[in-house]
Amino acid sequence: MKLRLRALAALLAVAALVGARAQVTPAEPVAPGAAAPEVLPTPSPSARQVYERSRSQLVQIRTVLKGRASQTSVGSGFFVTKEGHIVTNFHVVSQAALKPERHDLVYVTADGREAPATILQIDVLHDLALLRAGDAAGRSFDALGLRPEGRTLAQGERIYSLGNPLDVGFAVTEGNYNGLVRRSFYPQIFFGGALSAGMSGGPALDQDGQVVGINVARRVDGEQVSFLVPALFAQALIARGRNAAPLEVPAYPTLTAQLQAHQAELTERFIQQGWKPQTHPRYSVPVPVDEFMRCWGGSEVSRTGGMDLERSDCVMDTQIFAGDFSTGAISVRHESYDGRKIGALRFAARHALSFRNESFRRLRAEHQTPPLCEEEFLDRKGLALRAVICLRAYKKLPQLYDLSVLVATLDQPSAGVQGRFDAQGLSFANAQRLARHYLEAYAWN
Amino acid sequence: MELNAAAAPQAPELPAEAARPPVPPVEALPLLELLDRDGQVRQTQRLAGWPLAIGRALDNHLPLSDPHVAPHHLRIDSGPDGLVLHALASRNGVAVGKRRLRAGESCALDAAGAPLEIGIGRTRLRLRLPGQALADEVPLAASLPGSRRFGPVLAAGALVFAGLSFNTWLESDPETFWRALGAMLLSALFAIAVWCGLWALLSKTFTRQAHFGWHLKVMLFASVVWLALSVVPDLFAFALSWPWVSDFSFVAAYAVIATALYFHLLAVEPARPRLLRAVAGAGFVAAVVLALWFNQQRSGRYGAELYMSHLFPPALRVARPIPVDRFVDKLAPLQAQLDKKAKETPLDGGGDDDGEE
Repeated sequence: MKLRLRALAALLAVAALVGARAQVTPAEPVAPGAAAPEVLPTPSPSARQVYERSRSQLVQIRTVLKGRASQTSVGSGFFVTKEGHIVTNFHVVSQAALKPERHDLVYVTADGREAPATILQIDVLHDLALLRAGDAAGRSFDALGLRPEGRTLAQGERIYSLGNPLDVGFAVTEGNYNGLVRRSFYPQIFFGGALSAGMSGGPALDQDGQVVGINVARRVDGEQVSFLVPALFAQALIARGRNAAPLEVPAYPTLTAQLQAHQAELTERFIQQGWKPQTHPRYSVPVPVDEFMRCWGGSEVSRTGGMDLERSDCVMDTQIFAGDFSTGAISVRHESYDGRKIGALRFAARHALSFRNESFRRLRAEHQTPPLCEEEFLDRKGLALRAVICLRAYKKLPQLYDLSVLVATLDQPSAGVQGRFDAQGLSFANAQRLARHYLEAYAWN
Repeated sequence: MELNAAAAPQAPELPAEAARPPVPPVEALPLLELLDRDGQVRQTQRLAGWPLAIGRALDNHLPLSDPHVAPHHLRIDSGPDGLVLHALASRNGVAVGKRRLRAGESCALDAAGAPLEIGIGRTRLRLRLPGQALADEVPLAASLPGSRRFGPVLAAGALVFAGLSFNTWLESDPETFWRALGAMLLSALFAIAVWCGLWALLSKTFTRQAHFGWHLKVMLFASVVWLALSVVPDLFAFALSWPWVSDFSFVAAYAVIATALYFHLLAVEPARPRLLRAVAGAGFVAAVVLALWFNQQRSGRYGAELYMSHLFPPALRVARPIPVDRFVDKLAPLQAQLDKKAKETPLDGGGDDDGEE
């Protein structure tokens, strides 16, 4: 039971990131029993061919508690070289990579052969890991070929995703290539097929049996909305790590270095994309251009003659899975209040209540420090603001910080805007830079 | 008291000569009072003359049953220089006013000042002598004019009502105000009744009087201060951009609670105001220390608020706004503090005062 939950947790951890801003209520995770008919439709002749051809290259990756036989999470993977290199997701092996003192990695082939595996390299940003079979010496492995980057698939082309869903057994599921996911920070393939927990790290193959992508996540609030990491990132990882010595574990230094690279690019691209014009009739309020973010808006008119409000909420689909938590995302939201019906005093009370109703803690104390804050009245070209900036440091990711900025406009007696900016996993300099970028976006129209 | 009250109005009606009773005037004799632990007189005894011997033995003028009293504990003699109290052989000695006499010591009794309290064992005695000045008659509450009797309570009650109504008005939408006001009034009345009722019960248990009016007054006065405290520090914090004022306003709130408790307790144990002051003071200090410690455990800070979250109408802002650049530059020192905290293991971080703010 524990195994299944853990397997689910591992995949859903990432899936939930994708589904963070759902239009419809997220459905319950697909139960193993109910999933069977959907996950395993009757294979077409080509699905059978694809599976038969790739069966020997397919493995299940198990994370096992050291000294005990019980597995803590399961995922899938596949051989990519004759020398026994295996590609899988980082989130499948994260426990072994980050807490090696407690976990071992084991791969299991379709005919049940079990052998240890070691981690050579990780790519946290694309959620990939390169492993090597522990029994590779003197052995030659069947390997899956990666589809060359130049040969793009057409939308609607059949692709086949392989893996071991929920530790039930190796399976092939059919689906369609739907191009790249819109508004993803890093490219991801939109796979119109079903993925289940435990299939993470398995290959998605075209009709010729070449790897198009690696199973990584699905939306729990949709049907057959799944995601693949494009094969080219696996290609790059193989090139980078095939001759590497086994990764020095715990892999926090590597993780930190990659997150540093991520935050540098994120900050750059975020500042570059700029702000949307005309976001409020009176002020310019920062709402990001949604190149790699998705913004939702809403409005509530009080039914009891109270305060009316409008809100905008922009979040990134992409978050970086870093083991026990995720990081590396930005969110921007604001609420605009109209209290003309209730007058200045009542409006001030509600403005204050909303300003108070904010949390600046995110992760547990073992992962992050409590927030430290600075606050001031700010002058934005004559527009008075109350601003609070809170920062938290990561305990195991040195020199990375979470930034939260809270702003309230203070110019009208019975109307105003409150905005909140959150960015995770930044260098201190970039945290200051983004805070300045955000605050300077407030002004009169 | 009732006898006096009944006799007093008659006196002016009679001519001065006729008012003199036919029987010879009663000789002013000393009176010895036996007091209860709450200071009420339990028993009185007129003294026909001196000496007066007090002790547990039956051959005393006043035999006591207190086990902490010696068989012959004290004797008061009338001498050429007035009355002298002799502490006889006893383990516990005698307390005369604030003085303590050990066995064998003696002291002269002041026949002109206020009545003297004498403590032996657990028994409290008071000696009233003919030459001593009588304190003024204390008016009955019922004899006070209504404005003095009910004025303060009514005024405090009106203030509390106004404050609570204003808060309800602030927090409710126009269309829900009257319902919210009704609910607030009901719960406030209920809370006042329960609170003052419980205190009255305590008072009744220990002093034989309920003192409901006193408890009501204490609660209403405390509520007025409390309501003021819920606004004034926040307003200062906002207007002057002094976050620490509201961050630590809980200290003032605890002071109000401790003061209110002191005055409530005063009507339960009126004989020991000093002890009650000490209890209230100690309670206040303990509550503040616990709150600081709890805040430090919870958030690594001693204050109650992570940031000043009290917004008032913009016109009330006094502090000058600063440019964004200056504000963002102020963040720089946080980096070192955060890095230091990040190096603490979670157990250390949750431990004692190793984070200095």
